[in-house]
Amino acid sequence: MKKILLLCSLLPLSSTLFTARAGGFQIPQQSIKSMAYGGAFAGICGDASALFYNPAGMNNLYGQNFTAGVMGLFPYVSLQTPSYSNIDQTSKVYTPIDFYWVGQFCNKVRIGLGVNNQFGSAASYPTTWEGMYIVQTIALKTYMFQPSISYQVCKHLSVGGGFVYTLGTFSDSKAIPVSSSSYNNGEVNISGTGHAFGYNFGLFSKIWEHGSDSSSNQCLQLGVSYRSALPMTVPKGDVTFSQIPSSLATEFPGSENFSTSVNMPAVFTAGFAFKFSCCKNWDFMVTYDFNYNFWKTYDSLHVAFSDPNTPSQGFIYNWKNAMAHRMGAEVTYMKKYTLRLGYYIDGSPTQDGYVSPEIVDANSSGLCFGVGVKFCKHYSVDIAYLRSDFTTTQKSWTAQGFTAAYHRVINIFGIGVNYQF
Amino acid sequence: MKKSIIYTTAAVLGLSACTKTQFSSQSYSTGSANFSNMVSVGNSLTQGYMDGGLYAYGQSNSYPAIIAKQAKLAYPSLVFNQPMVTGNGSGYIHLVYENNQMNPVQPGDDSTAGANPCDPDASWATWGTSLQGNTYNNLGIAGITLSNTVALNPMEVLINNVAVNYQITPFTGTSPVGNPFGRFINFGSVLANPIQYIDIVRKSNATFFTCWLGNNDVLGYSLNGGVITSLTVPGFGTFALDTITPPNIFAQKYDSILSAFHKLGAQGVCATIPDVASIPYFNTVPNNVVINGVKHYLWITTKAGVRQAMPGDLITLPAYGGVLAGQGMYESAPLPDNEVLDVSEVANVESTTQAYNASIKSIAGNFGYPVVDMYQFLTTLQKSYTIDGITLTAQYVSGGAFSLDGVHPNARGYAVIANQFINQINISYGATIPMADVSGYMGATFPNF
Repeated sequence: MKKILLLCSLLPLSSTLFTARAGGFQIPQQSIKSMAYGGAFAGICGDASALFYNPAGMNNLYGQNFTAGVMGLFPYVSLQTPSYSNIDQTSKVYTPIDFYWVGQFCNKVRIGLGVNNQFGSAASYPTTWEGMYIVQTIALKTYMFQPSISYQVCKHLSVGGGFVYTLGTFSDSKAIPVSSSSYNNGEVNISGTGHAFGYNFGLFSKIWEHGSDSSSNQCLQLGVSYRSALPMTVPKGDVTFSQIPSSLATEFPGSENFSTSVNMPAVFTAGFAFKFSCCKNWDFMVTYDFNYNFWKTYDSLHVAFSDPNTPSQGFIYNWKNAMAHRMGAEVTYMKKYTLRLGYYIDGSPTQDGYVSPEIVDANSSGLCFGVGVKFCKHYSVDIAYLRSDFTTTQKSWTAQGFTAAYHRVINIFGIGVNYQF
Repeated sequence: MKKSIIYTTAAVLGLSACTKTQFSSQSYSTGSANFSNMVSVGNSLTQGYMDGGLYAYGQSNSYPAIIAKQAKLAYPSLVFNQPMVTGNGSGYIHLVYENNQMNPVQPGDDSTAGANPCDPDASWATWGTSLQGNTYNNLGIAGITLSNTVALNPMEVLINNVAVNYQITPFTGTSPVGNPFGRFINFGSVLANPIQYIDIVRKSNATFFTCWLGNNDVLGYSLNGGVITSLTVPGFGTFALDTITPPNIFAQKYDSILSAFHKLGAQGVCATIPDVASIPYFNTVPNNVVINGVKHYLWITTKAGVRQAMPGDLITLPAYGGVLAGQGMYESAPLPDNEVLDVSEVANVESTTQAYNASIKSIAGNFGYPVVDMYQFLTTLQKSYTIDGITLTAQYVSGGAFSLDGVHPNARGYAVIANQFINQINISYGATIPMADVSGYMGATFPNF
């Protein structure tokens, strides 16, 4: 009997590797107070998280200010595909943290340091599911370290800026369509650590005040800020193949390295806050921020491998720039008890034809709620709750031949403490 | 204060409870299609032939079986019986890795170390006869042509019966001839009471059918294996059985088959014939070899004599061993005619396929039956087709859609084909049958060592 040798290279790797899609998800809630305002803060700058939202607003603070918060982020995501009524993500709990310090250096200068997790996304599916050849699990975590300084130019104008160092980690695993008698499919896992440098710049103005002292009865504050893109390079990540038929070991070496770069987008923000009192014990505030997110910088991703037998990968995401509107209101009683409400509309950068189960995203809105209590001159505590819920129609990622409708609910609980002296 | 804590806790718990994201389970529907008795007619593709053989795994993953499995989600009482073989059935090709090479090993080839685990099952020699009393929903028979299914004259009744009926004929002496893959059907006996395939269709009570007949009428014996090439009937003459069915005959017979279903009041769906040039069998072995950067076209045998290959000449998969051994390198050792589909033959096959497909579309249209354009789909697949993150091409083995014989799809390929049918059924009959999950069907099984 004649045997046929296979000269052809066995597997087109282009179809089998992963999409190291790290990008996608900005976490706009970077302090518990701002979370309650729907993520608006550029015009408020009412605690040390101003350092992140608008570094010029640090001049709105006096003395030493510390703010720290932690959030419990509970995402629930379900999919409906042309094959299945319902597929659930195996949801996990995420706990982004934030810490800020803003200190008064002199009358006109503030300095500060912030640590937070501005970008992050994660999705986790059953090991065996319809889209396992696209993603099984994916996670991106970023830690931002931001030393900042602000300066009061004149009575009505401050400028501020910061340097942003980013440390990012991500991991991604997915199935590879090769079967053996031992396994129905192979798997590839990649993980890596990357660094990025960027900056943050802002203008802040208490443009109009009507009242006698610093806790004036009426005032209007304006803020604009620009956070630069963070082009994170991953010089040497790890690739691990597993469950590979041993006859294909050459095509899928046990481990190798890869390099890539991931662009986290720039964000432009403009906002205002209007504070007023209508009687002795009641203070009110309304605020609004507009965000313009430059997601277009995240329109593709290229991954290169250390093994020359592994062809480099390119993925087109075709993300577009997107806008968000954030608004909030609060009422404070006796300068001690504060109730906050917020709402936001967040435009998704994804476009139909490029909607991936890796980052379940769509135009969304969220309702937020918060309480603040000032226990004494130095301490105050904030809690906040956010809920966002969307359901999409059937959306496709054409290049991967995947179609699904998505339903996502996110509940975030946050608690923060502020210390001032 | 205590009260407020209770209220707050209640509020938080209440909000946490609002985390249900599950989509409610869909009520799938077969629309206006009646799936109470689904019948599939066709050839090896319909029977679930895979890896050069008929074995249980292939049958379980035949495209009609996959359609039925999905339709059952919309019509729970659906039953789809297939004439199953035992285990390895007729035996099948599998991959073996030795000497740093991946080799497809044929059933019956025991030259590699250890026993061949994919040899024919012991029951294969007598398979089928005990199944003849049953009725089956999958009437696919590997190797059958549309021409074999219905006779236009009494002589064809005899010829077709000899072709499809696995028996010792009065003409051929002691060894059985005919088609072993059709043994689950009682075709009578060739002279006494020959039963035609279309008679089985007429008695099928089908309420819904799939019809993907006609592929073998143009592919001929070269892909079928086991189909007799000519038949000598004493006193009648010799009949060639491997010729291309003339398009006008094809049209008449296609009309007969659909008419048979139509008389049953059955609804259904038909499919066009793929371009033979879109399958790996004709696309794996190049017609030239490059030595030191210089392209040398192989020497081939054509009906018009020996010549060097030219662009457009297709070399078949079985020629590979010979090419590796140097065959075709010299005019004195050309590749044999039966391992080459030369340019004129390709053109002939192509124009015939186009004619068949025009007939399929117009005849099906006359009866109001929708048509799945498999010609179009296989042309797409040949370039690249991505589903659920899996990219499939028509490349041999690595393409992921075709089995090791280079002609028939593997389980994943059949699932993709089933989805083309399901999609058409959904469109034409207002049904909402869920698509098969392609990721759950496997491609080739690669060896461990």
